[in-house]
Amino acid sequence: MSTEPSDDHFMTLLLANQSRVYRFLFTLVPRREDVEDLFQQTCLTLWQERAKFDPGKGQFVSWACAIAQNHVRNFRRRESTRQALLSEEVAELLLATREAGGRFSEECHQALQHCLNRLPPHQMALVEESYREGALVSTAAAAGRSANALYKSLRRIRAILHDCMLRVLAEGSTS
Amino acid sequence: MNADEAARLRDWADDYVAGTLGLAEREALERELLTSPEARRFFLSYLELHAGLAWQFRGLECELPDLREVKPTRPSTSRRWRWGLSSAAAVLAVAAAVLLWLRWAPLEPPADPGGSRSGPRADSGPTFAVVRETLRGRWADGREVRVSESVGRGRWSLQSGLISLAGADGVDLLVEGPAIAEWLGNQHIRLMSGTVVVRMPEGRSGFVVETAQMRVTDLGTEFGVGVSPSGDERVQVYGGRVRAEATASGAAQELKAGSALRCSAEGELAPAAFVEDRFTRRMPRTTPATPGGPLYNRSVIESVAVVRATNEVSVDGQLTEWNRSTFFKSACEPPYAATYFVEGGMMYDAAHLYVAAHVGDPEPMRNASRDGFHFAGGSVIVRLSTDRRLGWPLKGINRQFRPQKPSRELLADSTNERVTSLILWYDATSGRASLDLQHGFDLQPPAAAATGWQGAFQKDADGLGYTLEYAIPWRLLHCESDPPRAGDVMGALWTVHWSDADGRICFGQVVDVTNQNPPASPTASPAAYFLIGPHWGRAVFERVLP
Repeated sequence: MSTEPSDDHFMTLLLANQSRVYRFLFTLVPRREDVEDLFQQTCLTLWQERAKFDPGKGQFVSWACAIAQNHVRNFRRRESTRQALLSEEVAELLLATREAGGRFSEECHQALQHCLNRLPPHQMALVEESYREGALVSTAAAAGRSANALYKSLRRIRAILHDCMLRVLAEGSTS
Repeated sequence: MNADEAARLRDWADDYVAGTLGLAEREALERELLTSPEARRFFLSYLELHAGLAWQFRGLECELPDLREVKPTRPSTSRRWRWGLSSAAAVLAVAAAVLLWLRWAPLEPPADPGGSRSGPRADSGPTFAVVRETLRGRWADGREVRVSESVGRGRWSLQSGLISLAGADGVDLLVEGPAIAEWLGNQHIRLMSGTVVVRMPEGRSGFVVETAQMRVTDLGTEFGVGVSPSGDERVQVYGGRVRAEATASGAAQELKAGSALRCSAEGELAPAAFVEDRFTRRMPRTTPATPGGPLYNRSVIESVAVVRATNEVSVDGQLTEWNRSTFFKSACEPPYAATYFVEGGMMYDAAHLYVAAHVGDPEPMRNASRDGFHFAGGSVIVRLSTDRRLGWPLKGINRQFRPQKPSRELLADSTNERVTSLILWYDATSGRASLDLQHGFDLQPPAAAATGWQGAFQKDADGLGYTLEYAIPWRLLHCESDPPRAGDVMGALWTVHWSDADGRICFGQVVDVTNQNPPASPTASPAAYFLIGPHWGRAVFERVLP
């Protein structure tokens, strides 16, 4: 028998899982602006389709990601000639790798949190400013540096974070 | 994978995300991803890094839209995920409208703390959290807090009660009123006053609580942050660790579970005693003595008579020397008027100010609240100017409301030490009458402990109220050489707080003796009148019984 959640419970589920949906989209679509649009569209669809969600048949996040993937398919059809998207074959393979990894995404996310906490404050500030602003140019202008110099710094910091993440993932611990 | 291969994959991934990956590089990347599982995992983990950073530091302009007005579609019998063209277009149109609104709607102007727009702003805009539970929660605009209510962008002010908020990624916040806060992002709030306890799910971290003087970043933990009305800020760690950083100096400290830190109004970090019950960490499971309903009033009283004491006053809580016909009475809105009320009076002589009150309170004299928040557990607060040069209405206002560069006159009025708040409360822990003093509209504590005052409480015979009586030397109000005299009209304001049975959580208040026609001043709800002099009513010092 279906145990349909109330709107309130559904909203709570959506809030609790929105970052998973957002990160899922990011692994399929490269540009942040597109991810934001797809995320908004996905949230709207999830809400509109909430009557179809059956907690007895699976996890909310799986259902939500299936809807997100549908939006991505539509997006690919619209944008494939305009954007440098990875081929569908590669995208499917990446998805399969992600799913085969079980909690891969969650473990990555936890590892990233662990590594961010160890980032020196000045590097953390640069990352935060860059991602909050969404545009390196304005961040660079505010910092009195060229966008190119800032971009290089940001790449270095990302590499540091990524190395740390991989180390944490290999050790299987964030303690 | 060697270092060069790793660096090349990262470069490709960065270019891919930035939209600058060339055709040849894209083909090379695809070849590698098709043939190497290791490369796929590496590439995916790097995209997860991008995604995690983008999520964590998203700005306000794009959050979960408010969805509650969007109607559900009917369950379809056709292919589950396939849309009809028209419905897709409609949804995209709604999405586009929401996106346009989210991106181009101007940010709210700085809202008045405790102001008339002091409910959560999720009626149109992004949702950051939903109310999971509420214990007599009431927003400053008078509305009762509802379970499942959305809390969105902009400042919100919880006037009383305790509410639990479920935020993104499983973060849980317990907010105790009165509190003023603002969501700045999924994992980021600004706390202007009040207390909040943040609890992160296992393995999560990164939530930030920003205050006027500090930035507290969670490193996987449970912690509380409090900002008292006087601007004293504290952080206390219950589990895991947090990093506390002083905004002004940049000085930072990492705190472990069982430790606490204080940040003064001047921005200095100092160790503080860990007091387990300083913050409310769990929603009490007990049923309140009286059900539901916000406790508040609509002030109609503008002045209180301060009568010359003709006999020696014996401070015993019996009020035998008082003529109660000079008392004012103020009560909560129905249906609570008969249960929650105050009858208050004031007297004076050359040496003392006398205050008396009879308070209707089903949970009388239970105050067990914490430093900086003693008022919350049940109290009577009398605020009084004793500087006749300030006249009436008063002009001084708290720093939260002052312009960045106030005039010298406004600053002087606002920080005048002869404007005093007297917090009168019964300390259930020690069983003694207590008095807290604060000076000026910035609510500065006195330089030395208050001595020489007397106070007494008497519980009503039926256990549904209490009577208090205080004698406070003018010295403590900084006017012993020139105390108020007959004919003076001074600014004054009365507030009474009620609490839960444990004497901790503020359930509501009465604010009275207020200016019924205040001059132009910052808009605020009555809960914030104590910070705004023009809203204060009058204390009229009388020569003889009127």
